[in-house]
Amino acid sequence: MNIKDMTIIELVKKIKNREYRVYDIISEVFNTIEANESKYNQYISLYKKEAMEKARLLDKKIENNEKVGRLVGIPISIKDNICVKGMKCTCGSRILENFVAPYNADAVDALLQEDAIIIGKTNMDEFGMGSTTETSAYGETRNFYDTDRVAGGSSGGSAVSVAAGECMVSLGTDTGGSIRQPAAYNGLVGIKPTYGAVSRYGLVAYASSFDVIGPIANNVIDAAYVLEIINRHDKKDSTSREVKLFKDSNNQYNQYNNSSNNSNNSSNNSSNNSNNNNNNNNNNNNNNNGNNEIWLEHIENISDNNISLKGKKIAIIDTYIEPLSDDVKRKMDMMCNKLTELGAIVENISMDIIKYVVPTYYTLACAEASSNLSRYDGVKYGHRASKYRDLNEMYKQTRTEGFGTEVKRRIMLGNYVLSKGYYEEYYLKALKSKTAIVNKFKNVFETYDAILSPVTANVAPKVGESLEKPLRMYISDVYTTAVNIAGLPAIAFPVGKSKEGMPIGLQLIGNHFCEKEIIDIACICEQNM
Amino acid sequence: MNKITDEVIDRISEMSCIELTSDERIKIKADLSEMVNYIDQLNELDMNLVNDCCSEREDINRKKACNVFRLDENKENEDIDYNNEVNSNMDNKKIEHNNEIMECVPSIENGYIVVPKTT
Repeated sequence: MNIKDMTIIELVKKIKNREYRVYDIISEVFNTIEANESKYNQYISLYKKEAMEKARLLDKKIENNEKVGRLVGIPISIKDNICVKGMKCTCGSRILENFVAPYNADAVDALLQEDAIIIGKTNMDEFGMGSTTETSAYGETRNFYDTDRVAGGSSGGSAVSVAAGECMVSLGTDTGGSIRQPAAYNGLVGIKPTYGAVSRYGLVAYASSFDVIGPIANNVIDAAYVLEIINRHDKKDSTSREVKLFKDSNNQYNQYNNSSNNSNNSSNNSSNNSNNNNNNNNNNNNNNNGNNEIWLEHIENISDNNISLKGKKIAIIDTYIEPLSDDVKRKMDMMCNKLTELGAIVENISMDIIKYVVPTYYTLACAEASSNLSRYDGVKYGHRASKYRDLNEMYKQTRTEGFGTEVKRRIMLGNYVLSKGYYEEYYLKALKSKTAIVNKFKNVFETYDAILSPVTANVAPKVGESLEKPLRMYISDVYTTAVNIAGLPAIAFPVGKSKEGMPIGLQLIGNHFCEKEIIDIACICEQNM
Repeated sequence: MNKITDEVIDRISEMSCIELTSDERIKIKADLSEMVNYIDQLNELDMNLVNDCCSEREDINRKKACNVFRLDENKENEDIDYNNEVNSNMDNKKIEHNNEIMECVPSIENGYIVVPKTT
């Protein structure tokens, strides 16, 4: 049994039908992890005993015909900056080496309420600061397809744990591309939701106005399935929005349901119509399962429904194209042709403001990080230095010993741009630049349904290449950071391999809370690859 | 002009509460200089075209953002004896949660967090 060969929905059905036992699935998962142990370094901590115990309990529940959740028995890994009660939460840093989370993140609660099984916490760039998972205090994570190359970052461990077949989905985080880029480097699907769509409660903050939690999975359906579960309003996060991403408030699925009605299925048509009528009259966010099932059935059967993208307008940002490697350019061209064949209108647009995206992002992100990371002082939790004369020296020694080079660099840059004499010149300007970027995207989405873009200019680099020149690493984030600045959703999906056999991913960027739109298009692209 | 001087490095490392070795100072000074020069590109943008800074998407958030915290008012908590003896009526869950949090603390004495004195 290889869990990579099935979708989550298929595996849950087999578990509920007692074709597979949860205990056997989880045993197989840990056998795979043990076999891969020295190859990738994708985990910081594993919880086999707890996972096997939960597997036994779930098997008993199923035997007793008790109600089980939508993720029953599904093995899931969690990036190590997301709190899971009773598990270590190191953020890839020495300063939180022995910190055990006293509570669950809301997104984790959502998964556990559906009977998912958490198998371990995955490796990451320290505090999310990096694009390669080489800045972790616990060693670098290697790419699944070529262990001489990086896994990408900062959710590198999450990506590799899925690619290696050790879990079906992983929760990662994306502040400047940290879900999408490792997903692309490892041939996976990664969704960065709209800012506010998933609660940040229990996510250790890096840059609070950019951080989001999202899924990395083997395919679009699995990623969308988990996103639907973790998308919920949470009062404990004041930036959490009361928006259900997959609620059919605009009857968006009528067009798809109508096209499926062209086949001989009138009974489905009447039940779908009655569901849609009910939902038009019902603003209750909780009464959503019927609609979600319609949507899930829709994307499961997307290839059978002969859905076309006729009339969909998709933009390509011409600034993004020139620096691409030949392999990635070829894949972009292929995807543009594919989308056109499927009926979409693909057009080049100019966005000169893209030039300012990376300086804007790094000014704002480092400024926020310098504030967020000031809490690590050795007083209430985490590492505390052993040699100091007084309180101030304890703070300094603790932070000097506990933080890695990249974190120190970003904290110092952040303090610089916020300091007296430089605040207006840098931070305030970056805020205004952010406004200009947000406004530009607003204009684009008045005309276009989605933007197709590369995730990276090239395939995963070799280990050690990126750390030599930090600024070059920052500049390579140009394809992903604009999305975080504007708070938009994006989905990265695999489109094939380079001549060297390394995965290449592209991304679709949507308007705020239009995850359905880009997931549909990605699903169609995936089916037609 | 190189804005990142030794004095600037001293100042921001002090603000960051981070001590640098001499090798680290040289490397970070070079890195920060490069980064600040790169960020200076923002000066090319015409900021007069942007009237205000939106920290989030104002048109979406204006109606929806709300304060989720209680009012900042003094409240007498009848469950707590202010001589720090826990009243037996205190919610056991609160005690358990406090204990869980205190397990993370590097150094505790009699329920207090121990830290060195300031000079």
